[in-house]
Amino acid sequence: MKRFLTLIAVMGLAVGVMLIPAAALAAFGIDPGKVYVDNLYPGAEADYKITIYNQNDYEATFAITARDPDYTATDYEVFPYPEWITVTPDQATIKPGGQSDVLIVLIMPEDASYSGKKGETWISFKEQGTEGMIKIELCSRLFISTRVEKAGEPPAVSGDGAVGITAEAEEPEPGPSFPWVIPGAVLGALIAGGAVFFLVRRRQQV
Amino acid sequence: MKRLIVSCILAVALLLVPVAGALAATSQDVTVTATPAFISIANTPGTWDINDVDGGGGKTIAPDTIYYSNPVGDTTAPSATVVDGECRFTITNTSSVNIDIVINFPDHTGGDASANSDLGTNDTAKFGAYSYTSYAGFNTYATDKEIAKVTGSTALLTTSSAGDNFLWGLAYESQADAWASGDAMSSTIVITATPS
Repeated sequence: MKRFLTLIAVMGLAVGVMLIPAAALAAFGIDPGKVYVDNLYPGAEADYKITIYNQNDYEATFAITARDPDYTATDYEVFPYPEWITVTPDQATIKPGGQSDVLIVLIMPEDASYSGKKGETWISFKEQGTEGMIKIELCSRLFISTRVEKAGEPPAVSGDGAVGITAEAEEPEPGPSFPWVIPGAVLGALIAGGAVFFLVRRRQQV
Repeated sequence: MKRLIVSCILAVALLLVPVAGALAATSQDVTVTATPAFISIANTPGTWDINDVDGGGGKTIAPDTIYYSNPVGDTTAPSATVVDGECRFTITNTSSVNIDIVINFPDHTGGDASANSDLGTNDTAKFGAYSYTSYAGFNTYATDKEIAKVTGSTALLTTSSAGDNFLWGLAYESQADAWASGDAMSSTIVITATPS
């Protein structure tokens, strides 16, 4: 009798578990949640990746965009130049249990005037085509601070999140970079070579 | 003669040295190593039919009326200190870090396409909405409820610890004037999770 009751209880529990709608549970995750780009300056670029994990038991498509934050961290304003940010791809279809990287590229234009500022923007991830009235959005926070002068250190990128984010910062090397330097040097070399040739010929004649 | 030629070659070499700087690489890599911080939440249930919290179906809403996602009753306001039983939804923080939760309530589509006033209160052709929670420290209904705006709502909950479960609900004040079409409207409420 006891064994029979236990069997009934186990069956009831199994039925109860099956009734929990799986689709209502966790769907996806992102990493990292926070990224800091510091010392950005006109002409500089910073790149990093965010990984998106599809935890659904079905293939899902996610839309990714940069958007204004609902609120900002202390000392940060809403970053006013979302057009400086490129998200690639802006839509990702991922198999169940799979993951995919999204590349975030931040480029400050050469003629930008946003020096010595701190701005925050959010990289938004939303699952597409989900039925129901309530949708989950996950956002990775991007903190950007700019410096006043152009020359100096490259932008430093750090993050709370995925191990080994690689950020690339482009910066002109110190030294001559004016367009007339190379032709000038070539011209100088030609003049010097001509002088040598002239002197040698003259000596031979003498 | 030989000495002169060598001197001239050296002079030419010196002239070319500065050119090398202009041809150097123009990029530099920065590698960052950080502790993984996974952001994820679960919410259940995923729907709310206004004025049908018992799920019976076939119900409509009247203008200028406040409805709650309160299992106790569709038009029953939560207690001054909100309790779990007055919240329809449960969010689980499945992240590895503390998170903030924002609830946004976009304009309706279909029917009269009632718009969100972003003020919490209704108006002509506009509805108002609030979110509330029974989470300890945020559960005083009068002062801790947050206006659910189209976008840019204040966080309903801040620094929710990893693994937390918390219950929450919505208050909805239908538009002040009568319906013109009487057709169904819908909106997709968005729960936004960000690291604290």
